[in-house]
Amino acid sequence: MTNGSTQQEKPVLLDVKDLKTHFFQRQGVLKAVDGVSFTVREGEAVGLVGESGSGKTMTCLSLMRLVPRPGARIVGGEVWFRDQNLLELTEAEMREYRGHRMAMIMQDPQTSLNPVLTIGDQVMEPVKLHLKERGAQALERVLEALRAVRIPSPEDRLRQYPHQFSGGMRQRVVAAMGLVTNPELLIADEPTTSLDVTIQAQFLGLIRDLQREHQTSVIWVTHDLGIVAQMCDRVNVMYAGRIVESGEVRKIYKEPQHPYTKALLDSVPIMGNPRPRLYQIDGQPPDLRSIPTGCPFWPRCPSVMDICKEQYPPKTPTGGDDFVHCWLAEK
Amino acid sequence: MLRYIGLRFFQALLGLWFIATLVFVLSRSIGDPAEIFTARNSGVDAREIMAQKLGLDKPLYHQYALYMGQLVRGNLGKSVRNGIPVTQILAERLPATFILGLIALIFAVAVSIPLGVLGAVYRDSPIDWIAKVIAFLGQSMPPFWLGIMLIILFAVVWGIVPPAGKLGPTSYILPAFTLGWAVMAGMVRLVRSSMLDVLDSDYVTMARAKGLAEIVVVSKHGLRNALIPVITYSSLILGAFMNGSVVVEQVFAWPGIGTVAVQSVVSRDFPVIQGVVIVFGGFFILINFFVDILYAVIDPRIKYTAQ
Amino acid sequence: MAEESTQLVVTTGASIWRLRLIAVASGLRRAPKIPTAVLGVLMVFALFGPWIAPHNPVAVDLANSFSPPAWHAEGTVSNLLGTDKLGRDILSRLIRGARVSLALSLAIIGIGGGAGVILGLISGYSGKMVDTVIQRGVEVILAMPTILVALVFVFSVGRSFESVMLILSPFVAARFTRIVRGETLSVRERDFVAIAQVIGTPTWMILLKHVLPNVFNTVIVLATLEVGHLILLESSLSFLGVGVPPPLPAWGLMVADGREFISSAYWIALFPGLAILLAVLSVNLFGDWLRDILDPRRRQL
Repeated sequence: MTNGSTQQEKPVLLDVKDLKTHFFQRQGVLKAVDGVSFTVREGEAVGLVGESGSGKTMTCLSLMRLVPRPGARIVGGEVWFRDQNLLELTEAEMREYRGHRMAMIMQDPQTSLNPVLTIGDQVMEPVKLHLKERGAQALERVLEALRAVRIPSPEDRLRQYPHQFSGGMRQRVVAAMGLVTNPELLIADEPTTSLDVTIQAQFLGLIRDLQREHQTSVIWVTHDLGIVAQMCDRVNVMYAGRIVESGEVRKIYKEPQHPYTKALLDSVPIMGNPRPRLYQIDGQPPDLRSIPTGCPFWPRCPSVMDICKEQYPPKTPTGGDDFVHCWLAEK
Repeated sequence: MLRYIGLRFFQALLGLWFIATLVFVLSRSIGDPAEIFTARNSGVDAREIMAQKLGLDKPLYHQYALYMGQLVRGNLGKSVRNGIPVTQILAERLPATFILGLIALIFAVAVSIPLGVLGAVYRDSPIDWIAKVIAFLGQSMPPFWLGIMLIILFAVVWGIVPPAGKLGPTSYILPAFTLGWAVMAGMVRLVRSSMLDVLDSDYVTMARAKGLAEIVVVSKHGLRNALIPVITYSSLILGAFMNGSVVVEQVFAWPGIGTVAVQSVVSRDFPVIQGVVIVFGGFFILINFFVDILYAVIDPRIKYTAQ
Repeated sequence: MAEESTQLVVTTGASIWRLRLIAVASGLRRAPKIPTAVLGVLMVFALFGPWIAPHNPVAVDLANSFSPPAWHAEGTVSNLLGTDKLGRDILSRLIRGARVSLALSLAIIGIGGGAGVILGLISGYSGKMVDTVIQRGVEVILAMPTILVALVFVFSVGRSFESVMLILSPFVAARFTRIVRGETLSVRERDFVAIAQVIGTPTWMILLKHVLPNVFNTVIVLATLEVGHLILLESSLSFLGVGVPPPLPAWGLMVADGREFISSAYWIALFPGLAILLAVLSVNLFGDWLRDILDPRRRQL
């Protein structure tokens, strides 16, 4: 884990400001991402945590400008990649970034790889496209990438198809595909959710090593607080399309400010710390088509106050780059 | 791969055998075989000779052996209507049906694939609307009526093509269009929905995430996967063509196997029907066999997993 | 983005039928107007045909043969759509033909669909052996060219309303079986089925009370679309001369009758075909709309 105190001196790689992505359906507007702001510095590992439907995946797709059309659209905000607002680029310019300076890994290795193309072909694509390499040079680059993700005898496996690999290996191929161009930012959307626990540990270790070696920034999207604890320097907690708390992992885990963060941490059963009942957060995540006024968490909040039902709490800094959106902290 | 081909080949042979046997069972169950196999207006003697030939006095398995023996040697008997050997009738008529079917198939594929793909890629655009309308109309329109309306318009009113029969290159146009139309409509729908599914998949999103241009994503990553269900459905498509031939040939008085089939039913000419069923069935199995091979070539999952 | 669709989870069969009825009834107001209207007209024709038809559909009147439709110079309002070569009124025959088409379709769907649903439930719910046997049978049937088989069948058995029914039912059944089997396979994995099994409910009751209500929506949609398909098939058979025998005025048969006169009396072939087109189109459009509100997979809850 990188030393927390030097983190703040590293330059900012990604600066997301008030990002808004909405779905436009027959029944109404679904605010999947509703004013999300966070930063990622060079070499930093940042977690994006939340329940299903909190908007984590949509945020990632919005960063890559891969929001599903028709139906959804980025309607506001800025996404600064170093000194360029990605939302202002043309599609052709954006394609220079995708798979080159920023890469993505998705959850299900079964479906992330094209079943009718060889894995060699698929890992080769970004090399040919972005690194403009050909022939033996390109081939060597691909083999290097496969070796880096610890695929044994990659030369033999180039001509094989995804279904001939096990789940864990497939996910490593996907990682190779993403990292072959040495991107500055890697977005990992729940990459271990469909893997066995032991494979998961291997995979996480692999990514951490690669990250340290190349100083790649990583955004870890997950609902698993354990992964965040292991892999991330900072964490952003999302609820109903917004970030409700953001801060250094160690600090937040020790002293969560937002009731939702507290509740999430409390729901994790701890060995050797027996409790009569498993803690569960009351209620359900809100329907994103009809978010309640005020703070979207108020119907489930154990410390709800009157003002919570009326106004969304403003950003309260809690030290350094950290912040929280809660009326309790405002006091 | 070889094992796969071998297995499919064996299954094809099995299918052929099955059809031949089915036809045999049919011939022994719908009436007096001697009568249905002998030419009309022939006397009792002719029927007795036929009974002898078919081995009707012998046990059933003996008859079956005789039948199979004849079949393998290519002897399908003679038409009871005019005494012409069935194989000759079929040989004369088969090419006409085959060529018509081929042209119709090319037409159907050439139109439906681009239309379906474009409809999916440019969803809800005017071209998608056209695709959907064609798919709908095509599946709702009785093909025989379409043929007749086309004849009225192009042959009677405008006179640019002959109204019926196989007379020169222009006479192929209307029948091939009519035959291909219904199949094309179904295929547009299939291709479009298959392409929509593929475009929604994770690997397409990943391809885009790699920064590939949209045209590469659609053609390299999308198309090949989208066409797999089309190949899966090809046996149904073939069946539709066979059905269609019968009707279309009637409408256009096309001298093919379809008209032969209808004629023989109406005139109760069993040997000819028997021949038609065997030929159609055999053809069907053969095409399915080739499609299975094609399937294996396109989808590597079939090639490399034990079947 | 794959979303988990919310299936109607059923633990008792009773109340879901009422819920469904309410859904369809309230949805009917939003039904596509023209197809529903056409279907309504067809049903009226089918039910009240004999009383609505201006003339006797089978009455021969040679003096009046080949009379053109009303908007032609020699046409009469009495024979609005003209007469055929035997002087029979086209419009009346169309109306009477509606009954033939609909009756035949409904009968075949009833028999074939019923058998198909039962087989599908059994196939999807039973063990590997039974399932494989039924599946092979279904595949063989689906692979056969319908019209050719129908031709041979009618050759063997003779031409009648019943023979058409008999030969087309297996094809319909096969389609139902395949779809119902698919649905049954997924419903079988649901918790409420497991619970029913654990408490010892007999299989037939599980199928009836738990599985069937959940596949029912799909069945209804399929049945509607099959009506269109059957009308097309039956009219093709009639056109070829192996459908229901005369003097019943089947639409396909009318088109065949008109075939030889297309240059001189186009109306004999045109109108019956148009009727088929309109009927099938309306059924398909209606079925598509029905699928939007009934089939849980597509529903936006």
